[in-house]
Amino acid sequence: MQHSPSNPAPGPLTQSTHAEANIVTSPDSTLRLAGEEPVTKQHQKVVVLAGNPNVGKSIFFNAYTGKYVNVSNFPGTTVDIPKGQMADGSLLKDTPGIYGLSGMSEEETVAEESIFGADVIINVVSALSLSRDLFLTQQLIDYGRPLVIALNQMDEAKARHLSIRIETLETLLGVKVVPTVALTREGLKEVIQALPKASLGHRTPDSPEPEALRELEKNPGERMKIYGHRRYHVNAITSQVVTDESHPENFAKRFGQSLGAWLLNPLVGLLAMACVLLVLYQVVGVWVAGDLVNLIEGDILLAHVIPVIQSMVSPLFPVGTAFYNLLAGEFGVLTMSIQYIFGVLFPLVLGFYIYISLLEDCGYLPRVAVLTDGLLGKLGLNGRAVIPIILGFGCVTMATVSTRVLTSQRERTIASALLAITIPCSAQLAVISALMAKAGGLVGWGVYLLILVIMMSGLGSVLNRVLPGRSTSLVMDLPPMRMPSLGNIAKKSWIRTKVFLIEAAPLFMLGSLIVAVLQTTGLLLAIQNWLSPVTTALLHLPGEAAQVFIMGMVRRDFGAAGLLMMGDTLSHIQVLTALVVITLFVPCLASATVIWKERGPLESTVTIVGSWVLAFGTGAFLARLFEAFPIF
Amino acid sequence: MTLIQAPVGKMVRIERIEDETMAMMAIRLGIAEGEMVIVSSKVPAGPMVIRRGRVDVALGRELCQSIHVSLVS
Repeated sequence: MQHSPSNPAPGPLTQSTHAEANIVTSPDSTLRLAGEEPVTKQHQKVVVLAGNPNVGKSIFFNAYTGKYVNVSNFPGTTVDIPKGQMADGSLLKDTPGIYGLSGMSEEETVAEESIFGADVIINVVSALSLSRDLFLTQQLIDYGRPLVIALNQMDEAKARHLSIRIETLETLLGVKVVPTVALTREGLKEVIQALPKASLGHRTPDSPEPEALRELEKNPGERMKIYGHRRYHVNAITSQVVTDESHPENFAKRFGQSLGAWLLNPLVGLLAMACVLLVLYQVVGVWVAGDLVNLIEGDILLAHVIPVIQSMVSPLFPVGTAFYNLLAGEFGVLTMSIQYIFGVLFPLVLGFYIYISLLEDCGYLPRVAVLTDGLLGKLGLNGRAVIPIILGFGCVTMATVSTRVLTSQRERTIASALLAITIPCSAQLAVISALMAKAGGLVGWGVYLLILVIMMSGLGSVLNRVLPGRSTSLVMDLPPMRMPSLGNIAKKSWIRTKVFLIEAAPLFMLGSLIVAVLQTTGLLLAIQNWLSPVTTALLHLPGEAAQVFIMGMVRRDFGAAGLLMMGDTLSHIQVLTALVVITLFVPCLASATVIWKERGPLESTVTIVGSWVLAFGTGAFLARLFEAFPIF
Repeated sequence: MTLIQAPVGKMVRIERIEDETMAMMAIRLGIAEGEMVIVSSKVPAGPMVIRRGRVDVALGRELCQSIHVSLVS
């Protein structure tokens, strides 16, 4: 007898402030069960965590269920609904951070569904932003949902000399309020102990019954009035509860504040961003993607692990047979996926996540989002999209998964397309820089980057115009700049990497299986032969370049590496043309499968076919342009 | 004047928000009509940051152009 989302807790209990939450039942549950066998199984209590983005819900979830979800300083990272079992056997659900229940985004709809399916809600509220957070709290109360408030970040509130009168807050809202510091687990047990005391609270004065209210809120005009009224009520509560007792500000706070403000200055911000990207390139691009990957992939996996796998397969299927090739050959499912997943992806993704988590937790990333918002706005995105784009330079597959943090489907479509087509991943960048050193040098880099920037802004602007609707304006809290906790960063990066690999590994294996089949059946060669006239006629490249493009589909860096081997036979113009083509060309098979999964068949087909047309079109144009105006 | 025209460092009172969806988003975050906020900083051709109480909120340029304000101090 789980409550259905369309069947909220009934009216009679709304006036009692201390109704026991676990006895709230819906009156028609017997009707729904009529004709069925009597249910003997006991109803599992459903507890839902709800709150604004960035208030620490995920830490509660982690503590109560023993699972770890992303905890971050960047708003909006929990999009799925993680579920877990609590110690007393209840089911706990986490929800995406939301500011209210208005069905304005997928996150709100998803959260609303969980909230109306809950027996009791733990509303996590930040002591630092009470007036903002209490809007959702008051809406939950007005909707007749039984809840307990976990007033989190009490330590930071104290550090900022905010005094919060908890008893007054309890009296005004009519619900239990438990002060907590989730990071150090203070008060978490008390929240659980308070659950049986969950209550429906005091609705906004003159607010109609919950069901009538929800109906009314569907009417835009009425909704504005109700929201204005609720906001007024919440602000009145806040002003009675919070007092600012801060004395002259201390040094750390002032430093954090001025640093935060400086980073928003375009010039300083730009310089800081350049430094951050340079360090990123050096650390993750050169050391991790280059040295560490060479060590793990070459010296460990290729030298010691792969031969063992091959020697295990060969007694079953002799070397040279089709099955051997499928399993342990050059593109074998076992050999290539292990080599790629553990040798390349794992170090790369972990390195990227550590770096990104560091930027996120010190409060830097949200400021980059603010700085880039104006530019990204022209591409139909907002500042939040800077995260997937930075991640894209690490691994496009990982970045495509992270487009889930964007608010609307429209933005996700644009960001995925930009990632798939215009962003070279780090595996590829490493080989590209090796090639550029031989051919073109700085001029080569300049032209290459210029072309990518033109393609990116062109593609973004076109999509922004063509796609229906308009993108959402940025509304984002700027967390204070602070020293990140290294423990949290380590834990978070590790979990993110693990989650990504679990999700992506089967796709990589599927990708290598497809290639292995193509290779053993001879289709790979056939495609290459079929493609070679195109490369000769269209791109003015030697026929063998076709192989480079096909390899680029398997693994983007394979393509670039193939070029490196052909290096001496190609002119600088040819190298540059080929590099642009393999960058714009479809992303690797793994990211293609992720795009398929995230964006659906139609959109992914358009993206992939579009990338072919763009890649070969641009390549053909460049080849002719540079032949007419030789710059090298 | 609209929020985008308000000078940095000044406190303003929010008078009216034009776009309905934006008004709703703003109210939920605490930026309601009648509210006092301080203009924290502006990114040229980009968003602006306002401070309400102790929370800094970044608002997209388009949104700021639809918020009408009056100067308080």
